[in-house]
Amino acid sequence: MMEQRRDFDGENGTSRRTRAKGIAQSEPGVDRIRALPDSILIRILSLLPARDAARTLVIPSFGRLWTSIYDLDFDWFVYHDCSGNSSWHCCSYDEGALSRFAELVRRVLALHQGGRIRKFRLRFEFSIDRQLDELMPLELEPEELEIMIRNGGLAGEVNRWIEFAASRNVEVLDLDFLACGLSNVGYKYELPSFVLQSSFLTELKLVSCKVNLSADIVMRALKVLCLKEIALSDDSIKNFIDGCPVLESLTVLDCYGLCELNCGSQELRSVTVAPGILEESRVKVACPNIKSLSISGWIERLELESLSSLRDASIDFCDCFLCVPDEYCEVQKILEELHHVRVLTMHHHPILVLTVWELMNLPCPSNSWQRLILRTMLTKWHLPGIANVLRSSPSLEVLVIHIIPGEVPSIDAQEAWLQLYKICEGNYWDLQDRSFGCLANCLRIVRVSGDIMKDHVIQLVQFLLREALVLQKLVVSTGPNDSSISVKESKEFSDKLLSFPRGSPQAVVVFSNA
Amino acid sequence: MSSPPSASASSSPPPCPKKMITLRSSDGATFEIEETAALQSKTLENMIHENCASTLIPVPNITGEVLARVVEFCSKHAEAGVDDESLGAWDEEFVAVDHTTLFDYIRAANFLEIPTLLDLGCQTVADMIKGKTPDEIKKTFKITTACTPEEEEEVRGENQWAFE
Repeated sequence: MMEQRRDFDGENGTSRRTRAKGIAQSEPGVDRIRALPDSILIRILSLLPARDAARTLVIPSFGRLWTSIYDLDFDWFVYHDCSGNSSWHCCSYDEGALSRFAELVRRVLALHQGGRIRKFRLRFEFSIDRQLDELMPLELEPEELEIMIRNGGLAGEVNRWIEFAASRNVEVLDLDFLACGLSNVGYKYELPSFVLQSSFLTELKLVSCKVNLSADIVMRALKVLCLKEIALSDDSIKNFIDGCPVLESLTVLDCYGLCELNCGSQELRSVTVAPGILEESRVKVACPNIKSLSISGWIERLELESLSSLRDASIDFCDCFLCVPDEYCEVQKILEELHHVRVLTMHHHPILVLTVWELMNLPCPSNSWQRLILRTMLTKWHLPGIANVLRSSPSLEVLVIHIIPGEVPSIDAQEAWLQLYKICEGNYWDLQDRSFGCLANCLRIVRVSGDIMKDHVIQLVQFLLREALVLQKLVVSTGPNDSSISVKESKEFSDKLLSFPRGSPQAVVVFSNA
Repeated sequence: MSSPPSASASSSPPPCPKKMITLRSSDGATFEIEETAALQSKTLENMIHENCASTLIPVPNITGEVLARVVEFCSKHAEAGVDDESLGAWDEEFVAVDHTTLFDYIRAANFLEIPTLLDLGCQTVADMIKGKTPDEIKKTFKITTACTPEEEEEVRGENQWAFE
C-alpha cells in the first residue's frame, strides 16, 4: 500500500503518521476507509462532484487521493442554487457564484495529478456582461473587441480549462454554458475548434455555445453527440455526421438553423430532435437506418421521411397546446409516418390530441404498434385519447402506463380548450360501447406505475381486466419515489384490484408497493 | 416465481443441464453458482474459458458470509426477464447494509472483477459522502484516526477555496 500518499505533507509524513497513530489506535473502530485499496477510493471519489472530492483533503483517510480522480464534474449549482425558484423566475446574474466557481476549477486543475481524465463536465452560466462593461469605454475597433472577447477574460480561462482536459485525452466532454440562464441572450462562448478534431472523444455534449462551422469536424471515436441551443447552418449537421463515422446517437434540441437531418450511416442508431421555437423552416428528418427516434418541441416543423428501420419512437410536444383542430393534421402525418414502429412512447400532450380526435369522431391513424408506453397525468381529459388509441391499435400486445403527478394539463391556453369539449363525469369506461380489437385478441401484458392512487387509475384497470380476454399479466406498482401511500391505503387498493372480475382466465394480477 | 435463466448464448442446440461452478470461501464454506451467473465476474470468466473451473475454485480472501451474498447478486443479475426498475429496487435493498459489509462487497467485487457490483457499491459510498462536510463524513464512517484540530485548521486554511 502506498502509505505515503495518505499523508498531508509528503515530506513530514512519517512524523505526522506516528503522532496520529498514538492518538487513535486505541479506538476499537478500525478506519475502514483507509483499509480500502487506493484504486477503489479513487473510484469512489471520481463519482463525486469536484468540490466534494476536493474537500476530502482534510480527512487523513483519503489524504491526497482526490488529486487522482479521473472524472471531473464542475457544476456551479453548488454555489448558485436556484432550484427553489419557479420556472418563470429569472435569476439575476450571480457574479459571486461565478468567481467562486472559477476559483474552484482553477485550483482543482492546478492540483490535479492523474495522467488521464475520462470525463470532464462544466455547467455554469457564461456571461461576459461585466467584461463588456469594462471594455466599452476603451472604444476599441470591432476586430480588437472581438479578439478580446474571444480570448481574454472568462472565455480565455474556459479555453484553458478545456485544453487541460483535451491534453489528458478526455473521452466524455459535457459543456453547458447556459445552466439556468435565459436562452439565446448575449454573447455566447465560442468553442475552440480543436475540440471538434479530437480523436479521443467518445461523447460530446454542448449547450449554448458558438461552434465554428467552417472548421473541419473530425471525431473518429465519437459515438454520442448532443447539441442544444447551438446555432447551425445548412450544412452543419451534415458536417458533423460526415466527420463522425462511428456516431451511434445524435440529439439536436432547440438548435436554430437546423434544416435537415439526413444520415444514411449504418452506425447511427438513435436520433432525438426537438425543433426550437425560433425555427422558421421545416426540418426534414431522413435516416433510413436508425432504430430509435424521439421527437419533441415544435413538431409541427418536422417532416419525417424514410424511417424504414425504425423500431421505437417517442413523441411529445412543447407546451403551447392550441385548440384549433385543423393544426393537428401535422400530428396525424407524423403518426402515419410512425405507424410501423414496434414500440411507441407517447407523452401526455399527444394524448390530448387523441382526445380531441375522439371527441370529434376522428380515428387515430391505423398502426401496427406492439408496445405502447404512455406517460400521462391520466386526468379525465386523457381518457378519450386513450380509448382512441386502443381502438386504433389492433396489434397491441403490451401496454405500459406511467402516471405522473398533476391534476390538470399545465398549459396556458388550456382553459378555453377545456370548455369547448364536454367530458362526462363518472366512470368513462362504463360508457364505452364500441369494441376494442386489441383487447379481445392481442393485449397480453399491462403495467401501470407511478401515481396510482388517482381515481381514474383504478377505473381504467378495472376496465382492462374485464375486457382484455387474452391478458396474461397485470402489474400495478407504486413509483420508485412514492412514499406517500399508507399501509392501509395500499391494502385497500390491493384488495380492490384483486377482486375485479377478469375477462381472461389466465390473467395474473400483481400489486407491488416497492 | 421467475423461471430459471436459459443456458448462455454460445451453447449448442441440444439443451444440457445447467453447468455449476463451486466456490470455496476463506473459511472453508462451499457455494454453487451457475456458470451463466459466474460470468458476471471477469476473474471467474477467464478461469472458465481456460478450463480451470472444472473443480473447486478457492476464493481465499472472501468469507463465506460475503461470498454467499455475492453469489446471490450474480445470480440475480444473470436472470432473464427482469425489468430495469425491479432490478434497481433489488440492488437498493442489497446495499442497505452496515458499512463493514458494504466495504466487504466492494472488496469482493474488486477481487472477482464484477463491474456491476463494484459500481453499485462505490456509488452507494459516494452517495454517503456527497454534500457532506468533512466532519459529517468522519461521523458517518466513524473515522477516528484524525489529526489534531490545529493540523486540520492549517490544512483548511491552505485550501480555503474548497470550503467557500
